[in-house]
Amino acid sequence: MELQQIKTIIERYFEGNTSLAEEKQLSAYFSQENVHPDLKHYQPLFSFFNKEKQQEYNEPLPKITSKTKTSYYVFLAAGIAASFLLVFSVFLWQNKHAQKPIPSAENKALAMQNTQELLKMMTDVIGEGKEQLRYIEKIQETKNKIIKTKQ
Amino acid sequence: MTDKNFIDYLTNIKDLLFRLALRLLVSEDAAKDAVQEISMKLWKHKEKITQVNNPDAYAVTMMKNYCYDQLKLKQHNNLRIEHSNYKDAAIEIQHTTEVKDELQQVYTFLQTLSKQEQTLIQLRDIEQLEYTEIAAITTMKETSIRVALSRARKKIREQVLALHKYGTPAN
Repeated sequence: MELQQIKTIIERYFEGNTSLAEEKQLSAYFSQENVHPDLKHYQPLFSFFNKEKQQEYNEPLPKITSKTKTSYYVFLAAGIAASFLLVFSVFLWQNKHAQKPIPSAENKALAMQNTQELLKMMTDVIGEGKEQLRYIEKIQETKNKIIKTKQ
Repeated sequence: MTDKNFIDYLTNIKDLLFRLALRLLVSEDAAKDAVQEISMKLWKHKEKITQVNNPDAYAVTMMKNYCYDQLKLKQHNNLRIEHSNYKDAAIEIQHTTEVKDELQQVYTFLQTLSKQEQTLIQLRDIEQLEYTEIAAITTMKETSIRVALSRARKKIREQVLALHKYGTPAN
């Protein structure tokens, strides 16, 4: 680039009148090897600017956790619970139907008969048992023989 | 703004924020803290980010104000104003650090400027932002930015020239 041109740009630079494009021209001029001796003393300034621009922030950024993430876990837990409930209730529902075949009229009569027989048998057994309870009186008699109570 | 959008947005401007914090706060640790702090603040205001005209400028303004506040605090209780950058340059062998030394000089010149001038140099000469963007960040008028920037650049030039005259033997 023309030396004179660079010089005028530099003057305007110090007056704060350069555009970004012109400032980039300056930066490019000073980052090359053959800078004119008259301008050499400005070189560190522009190298400094270039170097500073290269500095980076390499630390990890803070963990960003949005609030929707916490409620996400709540929803997940609720979802799992709900699906368990669903599976369990389907299981129960199926079981209930498997154990309950629809009775026919014949079966109903048979069931009635069986039940009646069973009840009759039960009353018979109870009656027999009651008969045997009569021996309890013997205990009283024997006791009275041994222990004389006031009468 | 989704989480991913936000992370992209932050990743895009984190270096710029860090460099500005480093320019103003000098200490690297303080600058890192500042980036963390601003990241959290931006996250809190993420709804607002979607509404503002220039989201990047919004973040940079936030960082600038944060740094100014930190500096004000430091004036009262001068906590850690040490700086770890560039300090090795003095110890190293001279001819290897000649170039580095010159940059070190510019660095010290820059530090003699006011914080506002440093901010402007940072945003314009280092970050190469447009005047409209700088105006949005600093809430200054473009013309006053140009004037202040010119003054800052001339201050640096004076020191550069003084050093140059001192450094080169008269032929």
